[in-house]
Amino acid sequence: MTDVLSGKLHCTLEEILERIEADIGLTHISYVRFVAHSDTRLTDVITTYSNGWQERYSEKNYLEIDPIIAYGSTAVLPFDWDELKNDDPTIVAFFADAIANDVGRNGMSIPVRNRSGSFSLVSLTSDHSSEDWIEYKNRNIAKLNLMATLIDSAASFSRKNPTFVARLSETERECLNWFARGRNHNEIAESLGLTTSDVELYLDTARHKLSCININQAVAVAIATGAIAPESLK
Amino acid sequence: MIRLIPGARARLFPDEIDAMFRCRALTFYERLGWDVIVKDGYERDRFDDENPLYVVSIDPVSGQYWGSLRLLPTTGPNMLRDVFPYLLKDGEVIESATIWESSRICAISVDGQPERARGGVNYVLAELLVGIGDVAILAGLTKIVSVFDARIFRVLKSAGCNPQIIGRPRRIGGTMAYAGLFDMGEPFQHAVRKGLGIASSVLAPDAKELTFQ
Repeated sequence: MTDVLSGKLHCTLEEILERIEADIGLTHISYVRFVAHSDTRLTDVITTYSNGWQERYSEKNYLEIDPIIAYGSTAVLPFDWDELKNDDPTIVAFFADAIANDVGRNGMSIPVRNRSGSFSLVSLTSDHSSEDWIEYKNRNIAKLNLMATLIDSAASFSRKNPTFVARLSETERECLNWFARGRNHNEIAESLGLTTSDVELYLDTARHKLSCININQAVAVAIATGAIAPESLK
Repeated sequence: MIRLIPGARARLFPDEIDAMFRCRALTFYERLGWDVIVKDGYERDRFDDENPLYVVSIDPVSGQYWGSLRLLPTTGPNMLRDVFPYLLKDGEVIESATIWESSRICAISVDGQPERARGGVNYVLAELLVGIGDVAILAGLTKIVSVFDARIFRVLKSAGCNPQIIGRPRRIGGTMAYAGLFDMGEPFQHAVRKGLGIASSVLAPDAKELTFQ
């Protein structure tokens, strides 16, 4: 993922999602933002599904019956698409058509909330066997949550929502500073009289405030936007 | 037994939700005298409009409401950020995809409830705490953050929870208010279940309700 973000800042979000899904063993990633919770109208869609499936989805008016969208607009917990499958012939046909169009054999969706209170849904699909998919989700759910939030931030950013210089707390700034100077978590904890998990938390909130995908990027963005002063790194 | 109800699906559970808002009014307004607004017998605030996840304890046989708490993702509007930011140090914010906030924990006492859990903790509060642990596993959460008073702090300690107090505790109204982080890892799951003598998951088999409108 670092690789994706290291150089090419001019690629589209769809291209970035394609790189990410290839990197982490998923088939497709897609993102939708709802007008409001319990309202299935969408204000934003970013997806790596084939053009064929996107056209078919719109031709067939699937948005009207798509159970992922219907349930996702009200969900708080992540959910597996298997939980939504039932005997309703429309739903059965919808999932069969999706699989026939290479959407992926398994799917899950993660609801995302952001600072302004907007509601989004990040959906991930895979072609793992059922057992491997369950294993994959259990092992990675926390990371996938973080990734979903970052995709939401990136989508807001690329759609030119207002951006701002993140306001870091003194401790977050100090942790980021030490990190920028090449110290590891233990060393930072020792210097600041914190525990290692405190340091991880401060770095993670700093990263989140800066809307970054990892701490390295957070350092770069913090310096570039003036959230930490370059001279403090000496 | 625990049922998980997203705020957006509250109308599918009218009895539980009605009892919950009434229990909140009785607990926080009448009994504890907190500065909350009660209207038509309900204690309800703006965070209830943000599609929170209600963790609701019900009688496993009759389905009667026993108690509840409210979870809000910290990436969106939440109480610590929007109501109690002064509990944290200047500029400090808890905001992460893997940290949710718990608030408004309350319970009623009725016939037929099990005796107190191990550690002398009210059974319903105990079940709700174990329920938070179950939600953390379902949702991939690493921590829970919560603002609580001295009364709940004592319950938490008896339950084997060991929150990391963040920021600076303050006197609000007649009681101390603390902001604490609960690590949802293996030690929490183990300590709380052991402390309370509840070994397995407390979620109802159909805890996540998925019916369509």
